[in-house]
Amino acid sequence: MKVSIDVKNQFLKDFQDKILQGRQLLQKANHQWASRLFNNLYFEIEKTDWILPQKKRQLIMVITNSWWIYLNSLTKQKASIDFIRLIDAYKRFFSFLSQLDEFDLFNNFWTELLKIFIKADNLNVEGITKFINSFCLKVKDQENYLTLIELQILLAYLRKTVFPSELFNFSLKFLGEIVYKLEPSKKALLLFVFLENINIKNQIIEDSQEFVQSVNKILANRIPPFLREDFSDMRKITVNKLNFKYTLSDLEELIYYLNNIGEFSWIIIIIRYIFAKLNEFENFQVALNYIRKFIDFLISRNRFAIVYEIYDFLEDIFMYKTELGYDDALIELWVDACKKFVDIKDEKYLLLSMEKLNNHLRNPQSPIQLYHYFYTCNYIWQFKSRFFTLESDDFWKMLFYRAFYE
Amino acid sequence: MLTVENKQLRPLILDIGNCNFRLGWAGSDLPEIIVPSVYADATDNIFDSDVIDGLEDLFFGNTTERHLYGIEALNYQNILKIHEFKKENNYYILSKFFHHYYQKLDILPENQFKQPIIIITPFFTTELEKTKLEQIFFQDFNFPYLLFLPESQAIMHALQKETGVVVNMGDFHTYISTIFHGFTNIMARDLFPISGKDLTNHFLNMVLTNKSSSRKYYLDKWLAKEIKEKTALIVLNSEEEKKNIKEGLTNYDQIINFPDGSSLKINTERFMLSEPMFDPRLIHIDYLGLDEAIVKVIKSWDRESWEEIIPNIILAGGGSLIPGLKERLKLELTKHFSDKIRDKLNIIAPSGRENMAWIGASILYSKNKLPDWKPNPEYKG
Repeated sequence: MKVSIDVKNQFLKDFQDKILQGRQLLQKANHQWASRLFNNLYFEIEKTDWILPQKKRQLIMVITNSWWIYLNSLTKQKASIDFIRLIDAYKRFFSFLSQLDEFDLFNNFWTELLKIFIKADNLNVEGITKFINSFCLKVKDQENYLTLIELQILLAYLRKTVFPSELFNFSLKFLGEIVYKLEPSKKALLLFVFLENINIKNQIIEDSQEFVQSVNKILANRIPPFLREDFSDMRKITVNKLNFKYTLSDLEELIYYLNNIGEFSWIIIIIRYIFAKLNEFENFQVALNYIRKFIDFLISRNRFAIVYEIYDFLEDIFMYKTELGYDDALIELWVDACKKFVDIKDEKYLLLSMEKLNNHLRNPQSPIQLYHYFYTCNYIWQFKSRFFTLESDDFWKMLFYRAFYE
Repeated sequence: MLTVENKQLRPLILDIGNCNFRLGWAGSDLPEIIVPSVYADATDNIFDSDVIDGLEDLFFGNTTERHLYGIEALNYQNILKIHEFKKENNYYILSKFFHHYYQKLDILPENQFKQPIIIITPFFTTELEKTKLEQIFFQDFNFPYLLFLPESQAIMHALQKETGVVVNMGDFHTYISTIFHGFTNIMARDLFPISGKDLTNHFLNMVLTNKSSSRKYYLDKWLAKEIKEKTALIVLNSEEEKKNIKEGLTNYDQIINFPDGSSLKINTERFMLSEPMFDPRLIHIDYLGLDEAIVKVIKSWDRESWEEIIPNIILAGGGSLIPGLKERLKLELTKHFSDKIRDKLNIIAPSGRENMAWIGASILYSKNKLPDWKPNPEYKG
């Protein structure tokens, strides 16, 4: 569809004005009008035919970011947090996200919120139960059963008792199904890794093994017969620096086995666990190198979703390690991911990786960063030219690099 | 008791309006506290979504106090549902509301709840309502004395009049009452069925029905009320002005800018919103117009008294602040009286008339003209 440049410019100008207006309304605590404005803006983007899907996503992300910036400003207030504003803003934000049909995005923001609650004192039991269970219903709809089990166990831990529900029974049944498929010596190990990983992922308490024991006690009377023995065996497992190399070979075997039986979604849990333990017992670089070797293995087995999750996981780790600003390590991580997805011609994960790459590609501050920036832009041009529509910005950045540096 | 020197033991005057709550020391010029009579429940959000449940319970489940009062509640008017406790007859909230603002008077602990209380009440306050108020102030708070002061009496005293008609226009009630040489007559008063809230609803309907065909507008009750208060006016001949606007008159045009950047032009709506007061059939109410209701009340007295009453038609209450009301009412009222007394007709619209009843009560206290107090039979000093 041909649209004049004036129409496009006008649309973008209106978009920017409305975003600014929406942000101002949020700062004035006028959530009602802000959410109305953002929702209308979203519908306008969606119904405009001439905007390319990737551009639409970018624009929608600007709206999402506006909410997110505001929510962060509320939680980082120096005086006490205004819970009335925070709750309402989160409700409206989640409602907005639920329209987007992007569960990962929803999941990320929900998990961030959960982390705030986990650290809070005097949690209201009824509230946390409703909060986690309402998200569990969505997780179940998405057939993300792994997260469902994690959340149900986390809920039991936070409540210090099991909330008997259909969701809980369903979770344990699903857990039982996967455990059933494993060889006897690996059953308790997988359960152990799975439970310890819940603590590592959500940073609940310092000693993960203590967390596992606590959960084991809380679940004791609620474990169905088909899992009782495996949960009991779990008590015998201890992982420490001395015995980890034996555990590591068991875990590697488990990864290959899970891949062979098609249960590859469980692999990322073990990979996360291995990283955490290697980082604890050895050092960061050893852990990182060890994880990277699984990327090629998973690509060779066509497990692209897991590959993307590993990169995403590595991004989280790098983010904690480095400072804000221009970050070579993170940029290179996602360039590497893009290269991999270009090679295997997977558009979906390439697009997601490029989005991540663009997020980290901030304005360079030194001559070395300048070179790095345009060098990366040259790569972006190559990646995009294979699959997506190019923009004039991409072209000029590429040309700048080639004219000056090549 | 009335000559108590300690300032903090002076009586407190309380005027619980449907729109505003006024509390202050008797003898002062103005109430210390004038706040909207509204409250909000911290868990009762305007926006309701079942996308994620439990958020409210997480934060407020362990706390007991979940209510916000007055201005604090209005700070969240775009987030929480705002309730008007007087209109809802919610006495539980009324007592909490009073307690909340009583604490703001900075009364020393040894003087707390030791002041006599004057409560201003309109004539239609029922015995049941008075009993409930007595229960709150005597049993719950343990105040030593209480006095229910009729609102029209207070208003008349504020203007130092002994004869006249009080037209008190509130957000929830409009009433007309008369006093003749200090005496009232139960036949000579009327509860007029149109008040501020009806005009707000009428305005809302006009805007939504007339303008929605071309564009979508969002207007809630609070926003409509705010627009009404800023733009409403009363003209002498609405039909003629409507005709003039159709022919191109732009004097009445006003642009309303909404927070999201959209705008709305209003013109006829500005004066048509108050027309139901003079013709209630416009909003499907079968009743006399305000002018006719006033005339009916005046004519309940003997013909000889009219001459003394009509020079003192007093407008009071926040609803009477609409510009042009005084002129229009005078024009309409003159039609009902003979030439002989028509010239004596006078409408008094004093400034600060929204607080007139409270000021009148304060003057009555200063002049030591308050009626007898009712003592708390169970008072423990």
